[in-house]
Amino acid sequence: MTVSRRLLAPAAGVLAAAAIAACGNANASPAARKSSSSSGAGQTSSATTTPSASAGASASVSAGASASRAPKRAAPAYPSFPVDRYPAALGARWQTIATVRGRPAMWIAVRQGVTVVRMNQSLVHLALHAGSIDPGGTGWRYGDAVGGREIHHLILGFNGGFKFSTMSGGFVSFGRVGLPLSSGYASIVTYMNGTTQIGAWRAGVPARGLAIASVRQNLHLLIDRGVPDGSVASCGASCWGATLGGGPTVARSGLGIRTDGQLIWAAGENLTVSQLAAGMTSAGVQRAVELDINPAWVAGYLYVHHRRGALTPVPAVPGQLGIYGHLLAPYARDFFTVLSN
Amino acid sequence: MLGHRASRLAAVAAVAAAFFIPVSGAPAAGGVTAAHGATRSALVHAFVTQDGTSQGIVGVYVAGSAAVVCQRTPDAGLLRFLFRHAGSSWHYVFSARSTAKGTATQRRLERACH
Repeated sequence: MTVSRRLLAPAAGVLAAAAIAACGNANASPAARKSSSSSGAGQTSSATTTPSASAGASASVSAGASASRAPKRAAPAYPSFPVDRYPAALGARWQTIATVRGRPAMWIAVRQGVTVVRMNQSLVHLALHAGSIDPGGTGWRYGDAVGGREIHHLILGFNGGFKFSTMSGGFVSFGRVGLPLSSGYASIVTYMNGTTQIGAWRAGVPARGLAIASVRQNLHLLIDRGVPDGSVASCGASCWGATLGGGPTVARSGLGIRTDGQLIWAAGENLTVSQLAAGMTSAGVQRAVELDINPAWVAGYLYVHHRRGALTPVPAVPGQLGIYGHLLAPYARDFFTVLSN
Repeated sequence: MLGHRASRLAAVAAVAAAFFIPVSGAPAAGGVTAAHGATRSALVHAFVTQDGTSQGIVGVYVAGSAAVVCQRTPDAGLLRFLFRHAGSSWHYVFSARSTAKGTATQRRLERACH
């Protein structure tokens, strides 16, 4: 990216000001090169060979690519100036919300009452951030706020897994252990080549021969081979997390992968585990991890990039309570960002 | 001199009472009062225990055995989390974005959030 950090200074509003506040971290973008993807977890990724992350990569959250609007396909030299509008109405049909170098990279839809965001791994990659409390500490490659060069590639940010105190799975980032990994746990594994796989740890992931960038575990697989776990209908808090008030219907989220290697982040404010799983399977998910639950913690933001580097976070889940600072200021919990390659 | 000392003692007693009386505060309409001290702490603790976050809490009010935690959220605005007191602890009942949900007492509590 060629835009100076100094250019981020002009605020375009309160949200843009929040964005600027986070520019202190000097996080580097992870390796975004993609080699042929491993099928270690049964994945047949569409990610083959793409250019490395380089100056000129641009992510545009268009948020308005509905049928009434012609897709913005003109090759956007950086900086790009996307439509700063969330889709007026979400439906079962995929709507493009982000393009990378003019190619659709991310889409949004609502399936079975679940907001689902689909990501093309040949154009975007995940980054696992360490929160200021979970896991805590400083010096993480991706810390408690989006910052540095990462901000120029930022398309989406969303919540991580359960609180570390619940001991629901491990956390590893660039060789540093926040919480030890456990065999059999549902794992989101991102490799140094930028690809991400999802599967059971030591029973599907990690893939042999690929260096690991990060791993986030949470519970056991919510969906495996395209089928929701048998306990989603019969087992509540003891299997899928304690809920606000003990009720089955709360805010929930998850991350899954399809057979074509595309990732699906799914979330909703009022979902049972079954509904979350159903929404994900209807989006083609083969394997999935349930991420955090309850209204205080389930949130995602699409980031609209403006001139001079300012960002506007747009809530990704209708009705979400939200996160102070929109992940652009230090946040206590771990979270993911989706970055353009 | 004695009168001056007595007034100072009264002032100290008033300050102490403000800290140690579990529920106090300016009375609002319908017996709704702002929660202070141990009551407020217990309610915030109950809220956090229910996997909430204490960030953004702008008020805690009680009315008898009912209470509300008011939280201003980044994206959804002001939310009201209703609790009831039973068995020496506070229990979450429901949350509301408006002031029209629940019993008359609960609605009065919801209106205390602003």
